[in-house]
Amino acid sequence: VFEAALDALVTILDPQRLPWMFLGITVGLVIGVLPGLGGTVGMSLLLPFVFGMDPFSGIALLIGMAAVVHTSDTFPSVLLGVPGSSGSQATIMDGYPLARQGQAARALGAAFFVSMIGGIIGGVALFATLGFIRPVVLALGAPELLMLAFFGLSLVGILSIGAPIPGLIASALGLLIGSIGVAPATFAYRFTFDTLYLTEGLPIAVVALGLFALPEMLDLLISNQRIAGSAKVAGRLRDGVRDAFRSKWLVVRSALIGVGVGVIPGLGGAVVDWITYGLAAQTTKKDNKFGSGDIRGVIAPESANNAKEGGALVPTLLFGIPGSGTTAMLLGGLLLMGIRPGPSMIGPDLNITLAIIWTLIVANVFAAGACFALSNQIAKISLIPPTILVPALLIVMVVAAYQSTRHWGDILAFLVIGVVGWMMKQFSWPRAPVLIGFVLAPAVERYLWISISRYQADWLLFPGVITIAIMTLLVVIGAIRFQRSATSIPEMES
Amino acid sequence: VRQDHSLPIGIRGANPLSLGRLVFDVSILILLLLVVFETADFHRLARYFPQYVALAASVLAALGIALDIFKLRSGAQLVGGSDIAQTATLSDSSMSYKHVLLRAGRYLGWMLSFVLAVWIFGLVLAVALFLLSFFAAEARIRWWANILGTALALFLLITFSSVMNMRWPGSLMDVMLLFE
Repeated sequence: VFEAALDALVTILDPQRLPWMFLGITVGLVIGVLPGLGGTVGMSLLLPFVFGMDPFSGIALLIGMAAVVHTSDTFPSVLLGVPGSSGSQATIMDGYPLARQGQAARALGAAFFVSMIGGIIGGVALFATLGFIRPVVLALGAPELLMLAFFGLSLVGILSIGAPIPGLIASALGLLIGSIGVAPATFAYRFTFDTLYLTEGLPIAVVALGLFALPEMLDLLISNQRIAGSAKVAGRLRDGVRDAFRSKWLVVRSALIGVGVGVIPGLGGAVVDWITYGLAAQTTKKDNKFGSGDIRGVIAPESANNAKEGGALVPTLLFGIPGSGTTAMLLGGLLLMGIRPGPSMIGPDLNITLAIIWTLIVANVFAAGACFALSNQIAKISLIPPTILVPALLIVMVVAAYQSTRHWGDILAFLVIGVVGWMMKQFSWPRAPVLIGFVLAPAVERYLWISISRYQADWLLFPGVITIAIMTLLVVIGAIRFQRSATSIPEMES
Repeated sequence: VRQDHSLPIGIRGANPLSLGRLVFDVSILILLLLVVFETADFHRLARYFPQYVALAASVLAALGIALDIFKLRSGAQLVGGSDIAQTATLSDSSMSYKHVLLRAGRYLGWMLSFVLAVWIFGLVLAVALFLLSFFAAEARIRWWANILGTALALFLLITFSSVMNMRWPGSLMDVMLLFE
C-alpha cells in the first residue's frame, strides 16, 4: 500500500497535472472568500470541464477546489461576521469579536494553520480508515442517525448562554423552518402557501446569510464604526500559529471529530463546526471567554471543517453515497471521468483513492500558504468604513443568495430572515440555535419516522442508541454547568 | 437619556428595549400558535413533526413570557443577556433608542430600495444607481472616487458572474424588452 501511495504522490505531482490542482485551489479560495458561496457552487462551476479529462487531472481539479473552500471561508467569517460557507458559521462566534478587538490577523493565522493541520489529519484518517470503516458505517441505522441528530441539537444549550428558553424556542423555530417543503414521510407540501419557491424548502445559504449577515451589515451602518475599531490591524499571524500550538490537543480532537461526523452521510457538512465549537466551549475551564473573543473558539471549528472533507469522502468513495451537495456533485464528476465509486476504490482503483487522499493533503498545504501570504492585505477589509464596505457586501450577498435556487424568493427570504435576525440580535435572542435546528430538521424527522415505523419503540434499546443517548445526556449536563458558570461571570465581575 | 438598568422600575417603567423584547416574545408565541393551527390540515404523516415541535415551543414561549413579566415586575430588565456574539446596537448606551431605530429604518430603506431597483431595472443598472447614490449621500466621498468605485464594482460583478457562471435575478425591464 505504501508503495502505491508513493506512486500516487508522484502521479499527482506530475507537472502536467499540477496546474489543474492549482486551478482548483484558486477557484476554491475565491469561492470561500465570497460570503454565502460554498463547495457546491465551486463544483457546479468546475464539473462541465472534467468531462473526458484524464481521471487524475480531473480529481486534482475537483478535490483541489473542495479541499480548500473551508480554508479561505474564514476571511468573511472573521472579518465581517458573515459565514463564508456553511462550514464556517461557528467561526463567527469568536472570530468576529476578535476582529472587532483588532486581532483579526491573529484569528486568521490560527484558522489557516489549524485548517491545514485539520485537512492533513482528514486525509490521513481517510487513508487509515479505508480498511475497516465499511462495517462501522453500515452498522449505523436510522435510530443511531436520529440519536446523532439529537446529539447535534443538544448543543443548543451551549449556544444560548443566559437565555435557555429563547435558545430552545429558537431551535424549535429552526426545526419548523427546516420542515418547509415536502414532508419526508409522505408526499405532502407544508407551509408553502401555494408558492412554487417554498416547495423545495429554504436553502441554507439564504437562512445563514439572513440570520448573520444582514443584521451585522445593518448594525455596522447604524454604529458607523469600522469592524476593527482602530486604524491598524493589530495582532500577528504568527501569534495565531502559536495559539494553535498551545491548543494542539484541541486541534487534534476537533479534527478527529470532524472526520467522524463527516463520515456520516447527510449530517456532517453544516453541523460539525457547531459540534466542535460547543464541545470546546464546554470542556474549556481555563480563561473561558467563548463568545467574546476566545481564540479556541476559532481553532476548534476550523480544525474540524477541513478534516470533515476527508471523512465525507469515505461514504462517497466506498459506497457511492454522497453526504452533501458538494460530494453529490463530486460523485457525478467521478462518473463523468469513468470512475465508479464503490468497493473497487479499495481494490483495483486504489491508485485513484490514494491520488484523492494526496490531493486533499497537498491542496490544504498550498491553500494555507496562499492564505497566509494574502491575509495581511485581506485583513485590511476590517478597516474600511461601513458606508463603503456595506453597500458592496450587500450586492455580493444579494447575488450570492440568488444563486441558491435562482429564484426571486431567495432574495425576499434573505431580507425577511435578515430583519427577523436583526430583531433577535437586539432582543438578546440567540440566533445560532435557529441554524442548528434548521440544518438538522430533515434528518430528525426522516430518521424518527423510519425508526418508529420500522422498529416501533424497540429502537430505544439498541446499544448504539443508548451509547449516543448517554453522550447527549453528558453534553446536556455539561451545558447546564456551562450556563451556570458563564452566567455567574458577570455577577462576579459586578 | 437612558434609564439606569439596575433600578427596580416594574413593567410600566421598563425600558423600551425590554418592552420591545416582550412584544417580540408575544409575536413569536402568536406565530407558533398559528403554526399549530396551520398543521391541523396537514396529512397525518406530515403533521406530527411540525405540530409537536410547534406545540412544545408554544408552551416554552408562554413560560418564557410569564418569566419575563415576573422579571420585569421584580425590577430587572429583559435585554442585556450574554448571548454569544451579540454586539447589538440597541444595547449600546452611546446612542438613544430613537436614534438607533431611525438609523435602522434609514438603512433598511436603502437595502429595500436596492432590491426594488434590481426588480425594476435589473442588476447592473440597479448596482450603478445604488452605489452612486449611496456613496454620494452616505459615504460622501469625492465624485471621482464615487465613479471609480462604482465602475470597479461593476467590472468585478460582471467578470466574476461571467467566470463563475452566475445567474442574475430577472427584472421588469427584461420582460419589457422581451415583449418588444
